[in-house]
Amino acid sequence: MLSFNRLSVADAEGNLAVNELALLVMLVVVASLLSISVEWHVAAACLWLVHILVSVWLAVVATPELAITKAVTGTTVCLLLIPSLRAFSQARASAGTTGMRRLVVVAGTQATDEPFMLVGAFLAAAAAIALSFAFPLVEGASNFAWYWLTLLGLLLIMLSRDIVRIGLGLLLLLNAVDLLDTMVTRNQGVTAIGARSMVAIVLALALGVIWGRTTSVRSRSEPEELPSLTVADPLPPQRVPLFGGTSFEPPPGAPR
Amino acid sequence: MTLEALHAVWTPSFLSFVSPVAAAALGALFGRAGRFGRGIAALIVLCGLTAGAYGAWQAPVSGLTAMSSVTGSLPPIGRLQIVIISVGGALISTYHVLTRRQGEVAVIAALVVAATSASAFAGDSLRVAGAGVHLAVLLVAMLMATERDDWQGGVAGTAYLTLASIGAITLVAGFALADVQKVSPGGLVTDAFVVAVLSTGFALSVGIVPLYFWVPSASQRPGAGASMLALAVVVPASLGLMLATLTALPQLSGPIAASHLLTVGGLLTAIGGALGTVAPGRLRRRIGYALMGNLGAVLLGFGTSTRIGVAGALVALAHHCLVAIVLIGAATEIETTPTSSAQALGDNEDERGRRLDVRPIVVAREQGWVARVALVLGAIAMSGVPPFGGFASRWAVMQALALSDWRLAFALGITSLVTTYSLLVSVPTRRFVVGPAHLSVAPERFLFVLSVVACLWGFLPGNILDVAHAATSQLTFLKPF
Repeated sequence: MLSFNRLSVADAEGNLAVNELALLVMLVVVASLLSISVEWHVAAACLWLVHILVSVWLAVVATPELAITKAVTGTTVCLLLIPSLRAFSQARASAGTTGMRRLVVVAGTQATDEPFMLVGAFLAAAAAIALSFAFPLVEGASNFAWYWLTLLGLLLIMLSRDIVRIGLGLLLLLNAVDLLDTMVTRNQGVTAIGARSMVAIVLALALGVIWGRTTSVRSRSEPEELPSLTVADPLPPQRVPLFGGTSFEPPPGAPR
Repeated sequence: MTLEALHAVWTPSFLSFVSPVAAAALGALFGRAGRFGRGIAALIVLCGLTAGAYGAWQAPVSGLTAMSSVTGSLPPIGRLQIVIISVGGALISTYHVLTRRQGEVAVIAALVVAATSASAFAGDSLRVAGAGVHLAVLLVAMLMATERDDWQGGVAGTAYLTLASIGAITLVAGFALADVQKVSPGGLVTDAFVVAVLSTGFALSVGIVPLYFWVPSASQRPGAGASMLALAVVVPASLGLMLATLTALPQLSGPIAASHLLTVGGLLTAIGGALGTVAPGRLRRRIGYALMGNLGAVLLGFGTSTRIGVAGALVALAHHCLVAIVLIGAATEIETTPTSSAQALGDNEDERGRRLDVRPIVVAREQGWVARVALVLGAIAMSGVPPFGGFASRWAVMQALALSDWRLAFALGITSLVTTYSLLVSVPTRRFVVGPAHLSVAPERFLFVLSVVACLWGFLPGNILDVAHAATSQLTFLKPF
């Protein structure tokens, strides 16, 4: 259930207090911005802020060690993704179209444009509030945060044609399950925490590699049509160009 | 960490996941040093994987238990899993070295084996085990995107990364929800809910119908090494995690029996794989469907929840790994054609010819006939036709199925025959290429030897089945027969 109490995070005297509701509202705003961001600066900053807000929230509801681990992991993830995000942005700017970021283009639909994603994000927030009241799976904790991140992550993965947004959705989904797991088991072993952090970092590395690879392949010019040396049986007579020959004369009657 | 713990770490178990990591690091280092260095790197990786398999077999205590407070253990099933995966990784690395293709297949294979070995060592700590499998998925996705020099690897890598990652993340959510259900049995989280979440995660990770979407693409589009690793190493590791989950969460075998879902999923996967193989498509895509259908037998064996059924499924899984390597490798050798004169002649000949201003002798030769023979033998070995390997692997599964419902065994036999027939008729006709007469056919011969081993697998069913049956006797959720 949502609980909007003021919880102490800093010291015993209560000088620094964090309102859980304020944290959740900030999380909604930042994650919504992440889902519609086009500029790489905004996306990277929002992703880092999501991790930081989650870590502050973990400091409230769990232990400081977990919060520090989450903050360090999130910062590493963002640092790993920034070069690829920047390369994607530059490649898109040079191409002058959003097609650069789209690995698989589905013709005839524009359903994943930014306004739609914004509406979807707010719908997901409403659904998360309803679910956290109707089905509080983890008792004694706020279920809204992980419901919200789960729904937004799934929304990004399922509705986007943009591989950057799909990757960001995966990171959000990983964060959501991490939150759920932390709320269920507050005192986890160092191996489990380390393994989860390593998964997040390697996921960011894999996303960076795939984004970078896509950028390099797409920005490369189309290769020249090279002659095929494979012919059908029986083998017709043909001349094979040797040592740098770029043209290839097909045999008479062969299909071009 | 005390001295006793340090001493415990230096047991053979430590080799299981440290030696592949060290071999991968050294392999990456030597792999930059030209052709000779690549040979050295491949040798180091093979030694690392062999040491890992030896460590798994000899391990008296879990390295994770010694290093941390995580309760780790290496059950006999885990040992079998590590040995199967290490052998698979070694075969894939050897094949890649023989093909002389570019790519970090050997290094990534060692890292994948290390991650999945750590997963097997995690024992009851399902979250750590799930993280190990997830790491393996991510490494293979990276390899898919980079192994080939065109756009297709990126597509396959993205699809595999997205779907298999969602599966792995769903598994972690399922483990957390299982803990919630254990703490408050009468709460909102029920057994059925946990089973549904875990089933979704495993279906996405393994490629079970109807959540199999990444399998055809992962089989067809990326390079051979990444395809082999995804289908012959990561999938068995995910199935090992499934057995560990069923052992650690006995409540899943309660009234909402996971075995029913496994039976239905296995049957649908076998049928879906057979239908996908019949459908026209590229050879490697059809092979992906065939391998998916072959996994149906493994799932049906798990679904029987009997020792004999699970032991037979394990033998079938090991055979599946071997057949997957043979089929994907043979299809790659058949489909790969030189695209330029330089490639047809080979880099060395082309450069040498330019320098000496001579024209080497080129001949028309039939391409990939050894690979075609290997493909045919692999397809026959995968079938359940006696006395080949597939029959010996599935015999125990058939026995267990016949005890519960003979129609399941009948359906499995029919789908297996359809799959094999479809693969056999999809073997391409003869093709000729123009190139030097001495072009290396070592990869094809290697695959041919593997296909012969896969066919002759059936002559030792008793011994292999005894090992698997002894391992399954310690799984508490199985019926005692």
